[in-house]
Amino acid sequence: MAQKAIVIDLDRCIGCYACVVACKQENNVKLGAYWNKVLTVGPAGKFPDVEMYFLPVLCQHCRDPQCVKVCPTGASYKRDDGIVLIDKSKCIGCQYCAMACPYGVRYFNKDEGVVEKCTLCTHLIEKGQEPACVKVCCGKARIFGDLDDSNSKASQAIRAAGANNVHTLADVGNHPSVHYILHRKRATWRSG
Amino acid sequence: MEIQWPLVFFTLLTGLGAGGFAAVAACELLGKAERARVPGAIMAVVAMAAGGVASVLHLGHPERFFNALGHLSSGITTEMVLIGLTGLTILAYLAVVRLGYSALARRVVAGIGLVLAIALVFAMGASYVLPARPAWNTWLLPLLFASSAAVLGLFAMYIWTLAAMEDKAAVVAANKAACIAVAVETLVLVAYVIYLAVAPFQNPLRSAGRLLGGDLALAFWLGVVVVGIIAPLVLTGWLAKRKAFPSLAVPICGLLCALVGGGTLRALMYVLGSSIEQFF
Repeated sequence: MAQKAIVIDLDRCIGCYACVVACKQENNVKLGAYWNKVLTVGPAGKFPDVEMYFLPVLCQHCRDPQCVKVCPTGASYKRDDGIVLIDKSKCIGCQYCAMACPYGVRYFNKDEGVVEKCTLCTHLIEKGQEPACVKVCCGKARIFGDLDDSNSKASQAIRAAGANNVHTLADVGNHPSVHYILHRKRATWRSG
Repeated sequence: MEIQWPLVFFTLLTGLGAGGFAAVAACELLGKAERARVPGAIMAVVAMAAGGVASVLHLGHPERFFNALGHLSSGITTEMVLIGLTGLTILAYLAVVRLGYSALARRVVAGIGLVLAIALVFAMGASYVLPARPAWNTWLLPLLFASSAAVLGLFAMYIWTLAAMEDKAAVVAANKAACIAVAVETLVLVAYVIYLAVAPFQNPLRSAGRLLGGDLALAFWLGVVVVGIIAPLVLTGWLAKRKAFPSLAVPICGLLCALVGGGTLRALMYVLGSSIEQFF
C-alpha cells in the first residue's frame, strides 16, 4: 500500500497564491470554485510579538476517508496509491461526501451535477510529473511523494522537520495525509 | 451549510409516512381503531412516495438514482432499501386487508411494517451522524428524527380515528398518544440543545447560543417551540380536555403545527451543520 500526498512546508510558504492559480489553470476549475486555496492564519498575539502563517488547503487524501465510506454509489474511491478520486460518471450529485468531509474541501459543480475536488493531478503523476501546485511553487514549500516510502522526498521532509514541527488538520478518525511543517519559532500551529 | 430543502421535505414526508404506518401497525397489533387503519396506511404510502420524489430533486443526476444502491454500507443506501421495503410492506398490508386475509396475516404484515418503519426513521437520522459535522455527531439526532416521525404519524392517525367515527375510547387514546409523543420529542430536543452546548469543536456558527439567542432564535422559538411543541401540546392537552369529543380541526391543526415545527427543526439542523473546518 502506498499513500501519495503533499507535505507543505509553511515555513517556506510566502502566500503568493501561485498554487491556487496553477490548480485552476491545470484542472480547468470553474470561476468562483477552488480545489486548492491559501488561507491566512493570524496575525495573532500582541505587538511586537505577533505571528502569522499561510495555510494552503486542499483535499487531504485521508487514509480513512469518510467521503469514500458514505458515498452511496462508489463514485468516491481510494486508489491503491492512496489518492482519493471521484468517478464523475457514477456520481449522482447527492453531496453526501461533501457533508462527510471535515474540511469542506469538496465542491458541488452545479453545471455538471457532480462533486469535484483536488485529484493530486493524477493525469500529471501518471506521466511521471508532479502535481501542478508542486511544480509551480516558487518557495519550494510543497513536496510531493509517497508517505509509506521512507525514502521519498515527502517522508524525508517530515523526518527532517521532527515530530514536534509536523502537523495535520483536525483528525476525527479520517487520518488526513497532507502534512504541514511549521516550526514553533516561526509561528504557533493553530489549524488542528 | 445551506439548507437542503428537498431533503427537509424528504425527511419530513418520509417521517410522516413511516410514523403514520407505525401508528397503523400498532393499532392493528392492539386491535384498535379498525376503520382508521386503511386510510392511515394509504396516507402513509402516499407521504412516503412524495418524500421519495423530494429526495430525487436534491440530486445532481436524478437519472442515476439507482446507482445509490451500489454501496450497502452508505447511509443513503440503507435509507433507500428501508424506504423500498417499508413501502412494499404497506402495500402488502393494504392487499391483505383488501383480500380479506385472516387477522393473523394482517398482524404479521403489520408487525414487519412496524419494525421497518421504526428502522427507517432511525436510519434517516443516523445518516447525518457524521464526525465531520460536530452539531450532527450525536445519536440524539436519530432519536429526534424518530420522535418527530412519531408525532407526525400519531397526529395523522388521530385525524383518521376521528374521521372514521371511531368510538370515544379510540379518540381519547389517539389524543393521548399524540400528546405523549410531543412531550417525548420535547425532552429529546432539550437533550439535543444541551449536546450543542457541550459538543466538541465549539464554534459560534453551530453553538447553542446561536440557536437560543442569536440569529436563529426567532425560527427556533417561534417555529420549533411555539408552533411545533406548545401548540400541539395545547391542542392535545388543555383543549382536548375541555371538549368531550374534539373536532377534526384539532388533529388537523396539530399535524400542520408538527409539520411546520419539524420542517423548521430540520432546516435549522442544516444551518447548524457546519463542518469542523469550512475552508471552501
